[in-house]
Amino acid sequence: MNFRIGNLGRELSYSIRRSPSLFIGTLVTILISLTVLGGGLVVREAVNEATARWQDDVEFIVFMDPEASAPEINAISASLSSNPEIDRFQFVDKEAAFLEFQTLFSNSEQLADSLSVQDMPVSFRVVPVDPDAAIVETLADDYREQAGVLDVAAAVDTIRQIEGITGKINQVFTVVGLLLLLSALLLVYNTIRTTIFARRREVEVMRLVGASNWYIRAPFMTEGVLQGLLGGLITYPFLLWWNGFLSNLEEDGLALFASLQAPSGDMLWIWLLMTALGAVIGAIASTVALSRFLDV
Amino acid sequence: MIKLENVSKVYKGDVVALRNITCEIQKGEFVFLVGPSGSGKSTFMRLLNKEETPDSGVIYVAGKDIGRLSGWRVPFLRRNIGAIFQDFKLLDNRTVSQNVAFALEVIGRPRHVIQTQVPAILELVGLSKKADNYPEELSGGEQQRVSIARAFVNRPLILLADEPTGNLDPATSVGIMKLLDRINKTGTTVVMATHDRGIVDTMRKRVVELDHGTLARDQARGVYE
Repeated sequence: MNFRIGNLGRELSYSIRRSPSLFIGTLVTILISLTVLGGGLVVREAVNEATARWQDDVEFIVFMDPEASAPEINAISASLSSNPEIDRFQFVDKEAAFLEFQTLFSNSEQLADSLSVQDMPVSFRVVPVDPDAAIVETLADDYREQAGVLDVAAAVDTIRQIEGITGKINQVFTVVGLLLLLSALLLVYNTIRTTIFARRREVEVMRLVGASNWYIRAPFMTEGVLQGLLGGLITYPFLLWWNGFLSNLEEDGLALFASLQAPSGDMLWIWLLMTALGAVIGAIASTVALSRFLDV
Repeated sequence: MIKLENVSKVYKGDVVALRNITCEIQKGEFVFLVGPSGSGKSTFMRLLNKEETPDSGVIYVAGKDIGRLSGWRVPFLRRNIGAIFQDFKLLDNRTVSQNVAFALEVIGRPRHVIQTQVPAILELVGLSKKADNYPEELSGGEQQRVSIARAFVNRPLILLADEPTGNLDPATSVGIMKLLDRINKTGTTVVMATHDRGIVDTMRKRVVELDHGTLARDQARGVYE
């Protein structure tokens, strides 16, 4: 095939210049749809990352009643020490609890001031031998029943809640992303159709003088694929912004998210995946448009 | 060069364009295709470069059964068949020489070939001085010369002309016919559909007449009648 890249570039830039508004509109739609889809993946990866850190060190916390007696506290301490299923534990006294409470609720002074050191429960932070969620829950239930215990909070509850919420967020992101992707596909399809229409005279002459099918189709295909590819490439800053937004959530009181942020390696593959998806969408849309409107 | 055997073509709604046509055209012949509008002339031409496919019958072009030609080979068939039309089909945003060069570019001819072929063909059709003009700056006759140059620049074996003088005045038409005759003299087979009685009667070439899709007359050195 004696085909010149220069011709391709010239014809392509001609296509873009001919209808910049349609080109930009299509590009933005591809960008938004891929950012939403990619954003869902970022959430998933970030949560995996965050919960993975919990799993390294799964703990449940036995909160003692503030009125609990010293023997009751000692009994729990002894029980934890002798329990073969427990690796280690840490005792948190009233002063430490108050300090942590003040840090956690530093934003709301009223709440921080309304409670004193004496109102704080002492607690045991427990690291079990086996971090399996079911075992942790059984242990938590055991200690909940014992005398002087106010409540037992298991980290698994929180993790499951987060996972439940992020699962729903992901569903919404996926549905919205796919719908937007469909509209992006239709826009690329229409862009290519418009381009074919604008160049029907040239196409007619090309067919007449015996240009190969491939030669006639290449510029249209390239335009569609390039639009998708470009839309995918420029998602990167938006995905980074979204990841930064997630990591900032912890400052807004959601301290349970130790670090809700997808690692940069994951960001890279999400970006590349979205770029590839953009190119595929462009290819599909232009192929369909060509088969419908270009009779070679 | 061209052979049709029992070729029929029916369009949607039972409109018969061609009915059982058998016809053979030798290499280097000049053939007028005459008949009233709707008699099947255009269909006849469009079958030859496979813009249409027949419903039955076999068509040979340059010894090959074009019905057996796979899709990707059709462009190669068309490189051997030049075509000109009543409406010229020139590209308005390109100059005369760019219009002609376009035909070579899109079939991947190297630049140095294009640079020598285009001026030569413009010389042949007498438009060397207008090489850098745009089609809208030319008269109808000049535009048709450009389209002939484009159709012939690749030296096709066959030239199909679908009412090439349909939009031109008689004096200009004579010039176009002289040009087509010259091209025919180089050995190119010319098939020309026309309504122009004067031209057919003057040239005295083979005349094939179609009537309602059937072959009504095939006459050597014929007249329009």
